[in-house]
Amino acid sequence: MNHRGYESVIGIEVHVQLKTVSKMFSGDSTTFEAEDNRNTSPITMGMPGTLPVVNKKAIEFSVKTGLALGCQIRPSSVFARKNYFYPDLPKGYQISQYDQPICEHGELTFTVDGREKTVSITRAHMEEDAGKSTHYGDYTLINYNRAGIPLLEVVSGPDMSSPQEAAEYGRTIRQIVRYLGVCDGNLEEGSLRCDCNVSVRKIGVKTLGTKVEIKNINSFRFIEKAIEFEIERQIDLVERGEKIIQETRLYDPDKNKTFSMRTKEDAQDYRYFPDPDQLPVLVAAEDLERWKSEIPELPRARCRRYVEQNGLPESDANVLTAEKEVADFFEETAKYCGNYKAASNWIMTEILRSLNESGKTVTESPVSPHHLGEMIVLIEKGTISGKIGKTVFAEMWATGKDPQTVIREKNLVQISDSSSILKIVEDVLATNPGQVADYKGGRTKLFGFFVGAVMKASKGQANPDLVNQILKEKLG
Amino acid sequence: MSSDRPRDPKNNSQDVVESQKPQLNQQLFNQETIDKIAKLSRLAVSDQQALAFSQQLAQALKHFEEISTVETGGIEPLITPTQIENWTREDVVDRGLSVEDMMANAPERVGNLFKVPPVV
Repeated sequence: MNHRGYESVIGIEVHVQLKTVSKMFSGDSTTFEAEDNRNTSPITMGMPGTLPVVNKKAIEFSVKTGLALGCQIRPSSVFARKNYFYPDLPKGYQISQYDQPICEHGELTFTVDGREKTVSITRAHMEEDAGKSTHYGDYTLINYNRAGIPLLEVVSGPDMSSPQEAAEYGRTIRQIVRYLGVCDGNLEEGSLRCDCNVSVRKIGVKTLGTKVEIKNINSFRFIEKAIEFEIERQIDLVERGEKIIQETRLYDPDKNKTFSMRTKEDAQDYRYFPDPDQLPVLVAAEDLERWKSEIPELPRARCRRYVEQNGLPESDANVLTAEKEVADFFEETAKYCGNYKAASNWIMTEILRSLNESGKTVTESPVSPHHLGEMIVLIEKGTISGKIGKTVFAEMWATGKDPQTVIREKNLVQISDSSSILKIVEDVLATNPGQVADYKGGRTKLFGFFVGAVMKASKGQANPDLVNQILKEKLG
Repeated sequence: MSSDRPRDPKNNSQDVVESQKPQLNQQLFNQETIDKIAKLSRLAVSDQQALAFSQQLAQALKHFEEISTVETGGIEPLITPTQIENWTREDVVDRGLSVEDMMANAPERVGNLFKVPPVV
């Protein structure tokens, strides 16, 4: 992408908080809503004599994520100590992985503006989160509830060249970890954190410019805006002949600006070395096979299947596969009624709108896939019209009842016998002699008026095809 | 505000090799090096202490120099000396100690939060 004769080079580090119930190396709970420092233990606090032991679920979740990102999984990976003194880490080091991470050499393909983009995944390594410090000027308060929560840090290659690609990369990672059930992907609560490395260079130049890291961006839209701002800022600096400083910047969404967090006066030296408290992390072949078999069909493949095998438009398929639960709901409904397009239409309109209005997730939908499928079948059989279907749906949503019961209780069955409809048609024509005369005099557009009047008189229950047919006969 | 942590140069595999290679050189412990180590460890070290430390550290390094003369070509680095193959825990919550227990050693606190000197 060309920005004033420059191009941007973007790489992203995503911290994926793994959805385990206990921490990476201790039995402390990982609940977000917990009393200050309630989720701590001597291990989390780094007290002498404690021995951190790795959580097998965290390994499983890391491996599954790595597999979904096309990574190679190391049969034996190594935890290292990353040493630095900062009070959010009581031990004085973070247990992380360094030169032998669990996942490496993957890639991720997604679509941006209708074009396919593939980004390399350099590595994904396990590490423990740090505590949360809150600064008050002359002192700092620390909560260690977050310290030790398992993270998988997914590092992309510097392969993205526009803010849109960066945001879509982030969205795709979120979608995948949610499909896998390894992370809830909540950016606001920090269970998914994206740090963006951005640099610019004149188009045609092969060497990379100095990179700046942007942290603390809590939505994908802000990722786009923060990077857009940062690219322009860096180009301005270069154009003015100033130097870009390698630093970490924070994004302020209110001002739509990035600002310097700190300058790196001296290079950090983390003195990484293998953690002597930890054994190598071995991934046994049978575990690997089992975890591989447990990976669900991923959104991209699912989307393609809906288009190629079920004939859905790509836009529909994208909406339906955005969340695994919605796609599951769709497939269950479609399987029941046998009509993929109808199932898609009802879910994309009534279900998603109702969920949105009521703030519910699809798993909380009062209308089950089975009931929705049943209703679609009733429409196809002509028991109710599509229009009445909306009334039935609303009642199903409000009461959780099945469509047959709603139709019976509300007396909504479609009128499909000709004599009943004929009687209504005759009544309508008799009460509107003026319009009948006009119609016969050539104002054929009035046909719609008669259809509307008959449907209204039948409370929407008359079979529209029959109404049309009988009206045509009667009006000659 | 959220926590502020130094960034990680993990991407550069060149760094890995360099930083793990022992640099056995007594000149390593000049004043500048001592200052750097002290700063990384957040320790205030006087000039006199720096001199004493540089001698002690140089001596410690001497031992490693001896070790480094052992021929290790073709031998995989040892990650752990134990013979245990795999040791993991199940993902189960264990609420052992109370917040009060955990806060008992805090030199200063505000509610159930640890209070420390300013770090930004």
